[in-house]
Amino acid sequence: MQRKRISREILKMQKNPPPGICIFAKDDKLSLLESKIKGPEGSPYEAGIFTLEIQIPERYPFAPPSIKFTNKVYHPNVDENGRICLDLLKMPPSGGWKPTIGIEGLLIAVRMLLESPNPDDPLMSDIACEYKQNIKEFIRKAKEWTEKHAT
Amino acid sequence: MDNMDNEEITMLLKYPMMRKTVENGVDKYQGVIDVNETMYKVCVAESDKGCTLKLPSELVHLQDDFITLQSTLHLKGVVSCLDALKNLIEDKIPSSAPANHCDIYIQVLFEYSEFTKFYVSLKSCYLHHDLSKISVKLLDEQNREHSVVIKVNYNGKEIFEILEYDLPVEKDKLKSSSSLRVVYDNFAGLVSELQTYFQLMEEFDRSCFVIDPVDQKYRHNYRRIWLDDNLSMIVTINPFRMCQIPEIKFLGPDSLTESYYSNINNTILEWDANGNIFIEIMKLIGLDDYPQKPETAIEEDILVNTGDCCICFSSRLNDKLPEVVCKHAFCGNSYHVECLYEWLVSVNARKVFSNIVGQCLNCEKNISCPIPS
Repeated sequence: MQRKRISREILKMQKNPPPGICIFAKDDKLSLLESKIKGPEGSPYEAGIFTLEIQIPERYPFAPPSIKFTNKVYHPNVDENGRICLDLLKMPPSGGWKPTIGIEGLLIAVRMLLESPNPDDPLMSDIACEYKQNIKEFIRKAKEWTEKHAT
Repeated sequence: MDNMDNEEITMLLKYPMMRKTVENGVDKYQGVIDVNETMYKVCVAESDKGCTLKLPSELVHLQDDFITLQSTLHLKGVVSCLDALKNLIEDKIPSSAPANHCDIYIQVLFEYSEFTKFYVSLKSCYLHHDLSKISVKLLDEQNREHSVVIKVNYNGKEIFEILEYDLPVEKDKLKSSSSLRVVYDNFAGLVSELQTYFQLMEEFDRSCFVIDPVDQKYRHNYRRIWLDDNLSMIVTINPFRMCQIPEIKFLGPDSLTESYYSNINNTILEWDANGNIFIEIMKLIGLDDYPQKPETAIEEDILVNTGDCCICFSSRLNDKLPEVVCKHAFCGNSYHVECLYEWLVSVNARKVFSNIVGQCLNCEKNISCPIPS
């Protein structure tokens, strides 16, 4: 059941790709996927193409996949190892994962997070502080990192 | 009655609410003056040395300014003193009366009527009833329609300013001016400068399977083009430097994108700045033609069909159909018993006799599922 659902999800995203997002499998078992995301227009990540590693757990879709960036990203909700702080990636009651969300929904949410960071629930508190107090400097650094690590 | 001198007549005409008295040989005027429809109580004593003013409490902070003004302008006489005071008040105290925009209204109407008389490439032109903006639609050389909304700015020198437009141009490239024609000519000039850009983008939209942007507008200077199930390319055009090699990025597995990037490296020197850009881009990435979107079966486009289980995304699971249907109107999502049960257990839902009760994944209202044997 799990493989059937994932292959269906991938097929749908390949035939009808969501804006700025592309996905493909890294192994035959469909337990490791990779996604490339173009930085959203108008954001400091605009010029970059970001790679995400998606690990599908055995209990998928009852447990959420784990998603992380493999490029370095300067963002209040992404840590040095590319881990992402996103409500939808966690199980209830603390998180908001539901089997109906699917991989496409998660990737769209990750891209939206790049577009509008959530400094009130940060993983990197110093970057969150900078985002709130000195947005110009934040944008400059985020652009610089994008240039360096994602192009 | 004494003969009135000129000063006294002007006083009466300009400040009729000031009454003259004579105290110990000194002329004194007492009363109110009207500035911006507000009344101020003042008292002026006129002697040989000049005038001394007594200001009401709400104007006391202007006293020093007034004294400096008086000595620099060498003011003599009551009338000139009161005139100076009036100007000072107008200057320093904001008027509560609504501003008078008559001059601007006249200019807007004049400019607008001149404008509609002399331009022929306009498809439509419409001045909003409150004179706040002008919507213009113009047709370019290829009969493309471009809309622009020009705002009337009542608080600046440049009263016409472009508010909404759809061009791949930063706002600071658009001119503001006190002449509607200058603003429009600047915009129309950009449109005609961008003709080759519009042509190229239309060529992409016509000949390729464009993934992004979904709703293409003139301001979108990029196209994400489908190359393969796993691969797409993003071409970003510099609208004002059309013969330059555009920025090209690929979205897909590294194994595929690397060969495309090396293709570009090999062919980049063959770029012909005078050639047809659309074909030049194709040559650059080593294609004979852009691939067309393959026919897809309907089930590939839709993730979950009506009646499918919204957890496993299929209708049959171990030969069973989705049996649990959400009872709430407008929802009606279906689930296999096994799927819904496993999910409700993972979120620690309540068990009641032979059922487990939790929330529907779609509408979040209560849903009950039999516990499978």
